[in-house]
Amino acid sequence: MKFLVAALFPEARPFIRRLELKKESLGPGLELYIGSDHALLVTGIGRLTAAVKVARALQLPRLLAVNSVINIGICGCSDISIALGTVFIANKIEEDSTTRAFFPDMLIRHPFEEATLVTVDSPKIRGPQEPPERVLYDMEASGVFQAAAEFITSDRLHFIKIVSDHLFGDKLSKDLIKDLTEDSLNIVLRFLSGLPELEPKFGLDTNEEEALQQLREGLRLTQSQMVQVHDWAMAYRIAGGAQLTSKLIAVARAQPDKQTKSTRAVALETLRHELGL
Amino acid sequence: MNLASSYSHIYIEEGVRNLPFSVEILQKFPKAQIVSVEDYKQVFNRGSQSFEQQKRSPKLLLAAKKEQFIYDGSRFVQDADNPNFFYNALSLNCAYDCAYCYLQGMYSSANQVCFVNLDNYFDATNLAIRKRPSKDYPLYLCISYDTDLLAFESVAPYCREWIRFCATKEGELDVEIRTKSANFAQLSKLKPQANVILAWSLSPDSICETYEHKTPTLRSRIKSLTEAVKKGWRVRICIDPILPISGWQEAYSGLVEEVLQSVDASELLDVHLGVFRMNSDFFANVRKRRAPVDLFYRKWERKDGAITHSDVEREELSQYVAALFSGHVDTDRIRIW
Repeated sequence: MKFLVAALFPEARPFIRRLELKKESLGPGLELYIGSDHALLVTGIGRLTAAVKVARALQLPRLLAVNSVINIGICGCSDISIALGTVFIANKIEEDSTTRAFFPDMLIRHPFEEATLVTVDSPKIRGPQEPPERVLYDMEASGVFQAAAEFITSDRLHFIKIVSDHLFGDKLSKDLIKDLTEDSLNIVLRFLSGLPELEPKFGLDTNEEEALQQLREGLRLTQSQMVQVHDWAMAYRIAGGAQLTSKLIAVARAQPDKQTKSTRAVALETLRHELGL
Repeated sequence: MNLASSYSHIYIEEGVRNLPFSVEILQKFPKAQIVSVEDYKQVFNRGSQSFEQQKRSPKLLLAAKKEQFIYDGSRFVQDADNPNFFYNALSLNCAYDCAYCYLQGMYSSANQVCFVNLDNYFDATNLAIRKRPSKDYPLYLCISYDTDLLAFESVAPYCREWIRFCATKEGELDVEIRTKSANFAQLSKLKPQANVILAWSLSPDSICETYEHKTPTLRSRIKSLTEAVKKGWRVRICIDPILPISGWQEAYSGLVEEVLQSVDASELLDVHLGVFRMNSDFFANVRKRRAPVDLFYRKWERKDGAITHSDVEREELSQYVAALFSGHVDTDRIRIW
């Protein structure tokens, strides 16, 4: 599941509509919209509130399947040559108040411009001497990053920002924000559709785990012997071995009721042989 | 997955941007996104990284090494080896992705760090030469210890720079450059340097394919080392780790046969053999961080904080492979680690 995070409802509305997300009440103050493959959270303005709400949301059982977090919203841009509506993805997030920097991994090919995004605590107004390099400003990204990175790795955090102004302090209407987001909807959704799903973790299945447990009880294995047997089972499965469950059960069943150190040693050796290790 | 290309992004400490080595590297990536950082550790050491995913699209970090330009490695030396054994870390991580490599347990990031303040390294090496424990021997310095510099030479020409440095240090400095690459062509225009050892790590093809991801084939490595021998370089063969895969005896017999058919063994400097050993913390990290590999689930022994073979297994593996060289390489030119 992809988890979108927006500060304002006008930033979220085009996504809610297109992705057919439905509002769900999952906690006081959590404005969550959920569909089959996407969820969207509206956090309100500011890095602290964004961090708290993202952290709360990612602890919900309903969102356990989240594998990517995408912070989407508008931003100011220091470079007046950049057209309003240009879509950026941040390769570095600086937190203005603490000077800390955060780095989403840039592993996925994308169609956006890239820049540093600075998260400020109050709207940024351009000064007489803006730095020559292109800088974006928002009010949530560093909070979203810090909260989300507690739950998933930084290669799965994406910060997509649409230029809404050039820091002249103009008040932005809801309609302008909605229109800017609407205009970039297709390109953003195409990017989202290419984000990788989590690969299933390789491991023993439930039946194999149960058979191992049966073997442990039958042979009265110590904890360290159990770890060793588990490793053998993994090695066998990694090598493409089949019918692990029946092999484990067969060894467990072949044991005498009364186990001694020597019968246990023989059983373990038999198992190792059976698994071809 | 629609991955960005390797080194699509270069993170650079502002202080090193104009160093000649940085400029040379940056020129090779005109389309890369350049991201400035205060300290490379902000990117390399941060939490919440996925080594597995980063390895699929690694990024480059250009930085200045601030301290420890040379490490004393004498504790690794056995018997009558050179007591002046040192190594350095010019680059962190490796372009290859060997399943048995300790780097994946040592670092939380798969990105490649290149330290570009080479003059500081040269100064520290000059000092170490002067202060070396035994003046009867040259300082012995491994410069490709936690990485594979020759594999990365087309990006960061460290080998070229060090070979030039070595030219003025004969008799007081020996440098080993260990590699799995087939990149000798990168050095072929340089004059062979008597105090530089090019050490090729070789494995049977089945191991190259299964465990040594992104590395060249055995044949191309042998071709590369053969060219180096022909050009007059001192060449070492390393077979390390010898892995007890199914049918390992045949696999290693085939490997040694292929080497001996390609190169006159008398022209090799020596042969180094070793078996798998890994710091137990790194071993545990690898199991946590990477997709499971059978090697990490076989029966190992824990000895002195390391995961390795039993003594019996170690002897069996190393003696078997050593015997394959008998009649071709004198026993005093075969080192077993």
